[in-house]
Amino acid sequence: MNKSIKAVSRTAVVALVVVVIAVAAVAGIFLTGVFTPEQQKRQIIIGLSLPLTNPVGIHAKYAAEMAVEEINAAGGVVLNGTRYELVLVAEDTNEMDPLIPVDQGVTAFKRLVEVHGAHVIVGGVRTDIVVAQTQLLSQYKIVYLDIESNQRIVEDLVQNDYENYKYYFHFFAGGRNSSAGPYIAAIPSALRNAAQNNPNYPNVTRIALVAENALWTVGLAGRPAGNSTFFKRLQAQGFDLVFAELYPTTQSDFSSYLARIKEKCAGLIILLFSGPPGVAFTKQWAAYDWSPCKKPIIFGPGLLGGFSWFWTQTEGAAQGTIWWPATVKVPVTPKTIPFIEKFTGRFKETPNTAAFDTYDAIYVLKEALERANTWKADRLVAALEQTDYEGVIGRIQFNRKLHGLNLALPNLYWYFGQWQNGELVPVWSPDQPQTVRNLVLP
Amino acid sequence: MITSEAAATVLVYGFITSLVYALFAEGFSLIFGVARMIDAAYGMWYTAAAYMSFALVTVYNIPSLVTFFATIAALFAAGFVYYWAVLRRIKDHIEMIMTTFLIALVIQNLIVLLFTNFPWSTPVVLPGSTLVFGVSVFNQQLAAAIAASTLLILLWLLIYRTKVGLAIRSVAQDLDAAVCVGIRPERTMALVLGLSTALAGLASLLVTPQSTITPVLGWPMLTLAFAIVVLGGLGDYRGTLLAAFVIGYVEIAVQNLVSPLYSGAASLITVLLTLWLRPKGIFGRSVE
Repeated sequence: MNKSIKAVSRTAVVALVVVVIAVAAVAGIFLTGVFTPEQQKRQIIIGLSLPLTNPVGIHAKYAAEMAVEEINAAGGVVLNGTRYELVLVAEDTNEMDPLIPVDQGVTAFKRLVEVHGAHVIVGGVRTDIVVAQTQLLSQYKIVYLDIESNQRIVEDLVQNDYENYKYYFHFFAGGRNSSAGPYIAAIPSALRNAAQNNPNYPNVTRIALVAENALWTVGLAGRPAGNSTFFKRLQAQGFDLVFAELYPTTQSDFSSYLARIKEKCAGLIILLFSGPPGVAFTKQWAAYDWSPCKKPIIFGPGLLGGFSWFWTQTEGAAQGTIWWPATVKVPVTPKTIPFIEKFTGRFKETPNTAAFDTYDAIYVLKEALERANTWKADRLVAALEQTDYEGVIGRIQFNRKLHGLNLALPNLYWYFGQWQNGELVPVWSPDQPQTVRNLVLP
Repeated sequence: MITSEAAATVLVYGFITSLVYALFAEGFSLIFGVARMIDAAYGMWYTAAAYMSFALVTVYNIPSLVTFFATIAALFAAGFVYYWAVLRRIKDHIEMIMTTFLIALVIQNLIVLLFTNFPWSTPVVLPGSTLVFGVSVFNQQLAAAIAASTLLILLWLLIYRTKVGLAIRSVAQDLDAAVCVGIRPERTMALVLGLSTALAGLASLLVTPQSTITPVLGWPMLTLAFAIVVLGGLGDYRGTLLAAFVIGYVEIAVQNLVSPLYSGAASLITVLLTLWLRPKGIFGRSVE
């Protein structure tokens, strides 16, 4: 009898434990939301694929948070009459570290979709990583808003293979229709005009090219360095390319480059950089003894050059350098200055271009979601193609075939800014292409 | 045709670069020569010194000179503890490489955690530049060259003209014999580790103010040290010094006369060619 009671009670205990575990497991699954249908949560999840420990990614994330807070506070996104809240999830791609392989960006992308359940991806800085991530778009059927990569490679893919790449939209002005190339080509002429009236200018007709050995510089700098349409045009205009060299992304000592530039007495250095070596180059250029030549002027597309962080990191050695893109404080739209002031007030730093683009990307997305009445990619693509939005960077539309920016003028990417005592002062814009304004010699 | 300006540039920059390389590589060579260890974390001490100096100067506003000595002292202590706590316990070479590699990754990730991936910049101590044989040299580089020369001489004096140096050489030559004459090998090896990490830190503090610092700064330096030490002959002071000059001059010559993109490859080709002709390196023991 006792034995049977013991056996029964043992069975009862085991059964009870199994039931408790099962209930806890099921409850846990539902409480943690693993099986909860996304629609019931009424959230739209935006996945940020960014280098989260670098100024580019940090500012982009700040701006995304600002935009999402504003949108949610104003009622969120309304789809078919139902209010949805925007939610951000982020993965660190670490992509501003040149030694990080492309795989890390791809893994971050996959985690955003598979683990965090992102409905849309916002991010993209390093071109090779963006190219790799966009290979997965048609597989996941997810929209990708590229906020910072400076190449038109994926735009070309959209044009040539629309069905597979239509999910990609390029928010940065580095695409086929928004390239800064024509602007960059105009500045040497403007400087040459200014030099005719000022004997203190260096000989700006003698140009040196120093470019990061990265995918984004292939078009502009050419391979080997200097072998591009851009430089052929400059040469046709009477400019002499006296030095052209690529540098590895791990370069820290530029003495040899500077010595060779000085030997050729170049008066203008076109510096194409996006990573840390740009800071080292600028510090070393400022400290270099250029006699008997005059100190050359530096200008170029340097992603970090237009960041407020650049001024402090170069300890003011950036004085006189000219950069694109530059977040100059110009009211390109009524939203621009309020955005700069709000961002600066909250985060104590001037927003960089990644912040501008991300902020606009979230608002463009919000409008497209409401037009499409869904986050489902195929309908969202069609809605994004209809974008006509006045953002902080200007009036935003997309080219239907390329999904690249068609920016109405004026816009933020018009301006080249020169560092003058800690401020980026606009010195050139294409409305007056033959002149530079308020320029100081370095 | 090489111009006189180009030749002067190669001569001057090659000399400065080689001195800094030599200072860094001598530490790596010491570790191998005395402790017979391959320290894959060696490059991380270079990085750690740069970040410590950055934090002290920029965040805590400590004067540069105090920062310099504090960083070197901290690195010496770290090397000492590193040997006593970790390296002493490992006997197998593969285990050694894996463990030190893991430690390097831990240090790198700690740096990312504390300082993020921002490319920070330490203030230049000696701004401006000076003309040397008609070549503009940053004052910071000039100071680095003078300091590196002095430190290399002091290191030579320490190894070849002091009792401590005698103990170090004894342990390097014959461990058992060293024990027989009353030398404590573990204490000597700990001292060598402290000295080596301090040398890595010194090389870092001399050159990083002119550029930017990132958490991966040490990896190319580790490759460089490895190439120099293999070329010079493992664990040989003179060989390491000479190899540093060979690598330094090859790099700068290729940078100036061919293309900076090929300078790293040129150094490694030099190492391969030398080993093909002299498998033991310039002076030292067999690489095998």
